[in-house]
Amino acid sequence: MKLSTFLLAGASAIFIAACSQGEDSIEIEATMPPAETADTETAEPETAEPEAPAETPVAHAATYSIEPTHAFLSFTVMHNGLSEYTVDFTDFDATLDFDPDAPEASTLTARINPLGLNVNYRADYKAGHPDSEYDTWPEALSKDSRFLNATEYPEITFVSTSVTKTGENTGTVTGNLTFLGATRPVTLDVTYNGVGSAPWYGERSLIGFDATTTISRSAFGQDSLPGIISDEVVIEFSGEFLENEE
Amino acid sequence: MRNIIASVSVAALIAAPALAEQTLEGVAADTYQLDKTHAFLTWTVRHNGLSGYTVNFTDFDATLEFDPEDLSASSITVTINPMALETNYPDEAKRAEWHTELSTDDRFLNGDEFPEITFVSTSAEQTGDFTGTVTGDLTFLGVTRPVTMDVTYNGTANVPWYGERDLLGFSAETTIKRSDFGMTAMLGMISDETRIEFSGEFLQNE
Repeated sequence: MKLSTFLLAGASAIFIAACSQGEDSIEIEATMPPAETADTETAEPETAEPEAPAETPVAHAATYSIEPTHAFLSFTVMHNGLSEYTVDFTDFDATLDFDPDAPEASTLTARINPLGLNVNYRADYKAGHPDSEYDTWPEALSKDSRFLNATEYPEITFVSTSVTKTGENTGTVTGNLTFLGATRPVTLDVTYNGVGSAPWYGERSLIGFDATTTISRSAFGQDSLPGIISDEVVIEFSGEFLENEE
Repeated sequence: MRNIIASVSVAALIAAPALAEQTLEGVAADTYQLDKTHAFLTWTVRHNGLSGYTVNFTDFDATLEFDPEDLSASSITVTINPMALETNYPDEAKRAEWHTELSTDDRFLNGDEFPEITFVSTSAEQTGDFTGTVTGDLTFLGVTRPVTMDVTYNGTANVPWYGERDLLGFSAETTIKRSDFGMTAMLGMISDETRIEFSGEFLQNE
């Protein structure tokens, strides 16, 4: 899900370099190794399924929803100025109205459940926090009023208001982020990774994106543990959207 | 790594001068152990060229011999348990099953046969005030290959509950080719390039 440097230097750059035949269409096959090195089960769907039309993949203009088995959303803060502390959201959804011919007309609505968190905590939380009212560290992160305060604010939402194209496969998405009851404009830097399909989804398009932004948590009223936890919060997404069934 | 490092460690300094400082002055030359409650190690592959798929290691340890006067004399040994993984698999009922498959399937980490991944540094080089590279031998799936990590030293801090013992923060990243280690399953669907990222803290041994 990570890092614009990797994304640009890695796979995305390969796409961009290897196939610039369409402004918003990227042929996944162009990034694949020679077919003989891929096993049948995992070959690129367009060639693995003879009944599928052999055409250059172009994403359909349609409404898409998050494909939850291939979607990662995390937030990262600096801890004590020493290390990056990354927490994954495990329960989120998003609806995307996407038009490859007019990406600026696209809209995105995302909903995040602050009770669904995953974090690498290698200690006995109860032993270390005998007075805590919570059973686990993720639960404390979710519910503590210093953190996500999910009992009072059970949903985080992002509703896009405008999209700007900045490059062949990059753009910004500005929208209203509602967190802890405060709504603030936030701009995401987005990379479009391309379109694919899968036999089990038939003609429905799968499109991939990476997105990142940095917000100030104090702008949403969260100012706990200043210095120990950075005000800047890096939010990163990488995932796929599946065209809705008609 | 994330842009947050450059911008934020400075901000943290200003907000809490008693805490972290990105300096090597006063740092103890000593043996340090990973602080497991502030340590993250992930690998990310590209799925179908469409998205990044990130998996967290949840059981790993590292011992660092750190010499602030001569960073090139520092060394690190890392052990990773491939049987302990976490992903963002949405179906909670099947999540453990998926993690076990990733850990044990011989197309993936094959942890039953190769129950440990290790990295043993062989050299270190300072490239900037607080950046450097650490080269070492990565052993994965029974294959040992040299790997070079780009490392940023984020700073040092002392906290009351550890007394005089120094805490050091680092972020590190590298990209390996999994095929170099014999893992060639699903090439094309899963990228050969595997991004490895670490950020965490080390505590001076007592």
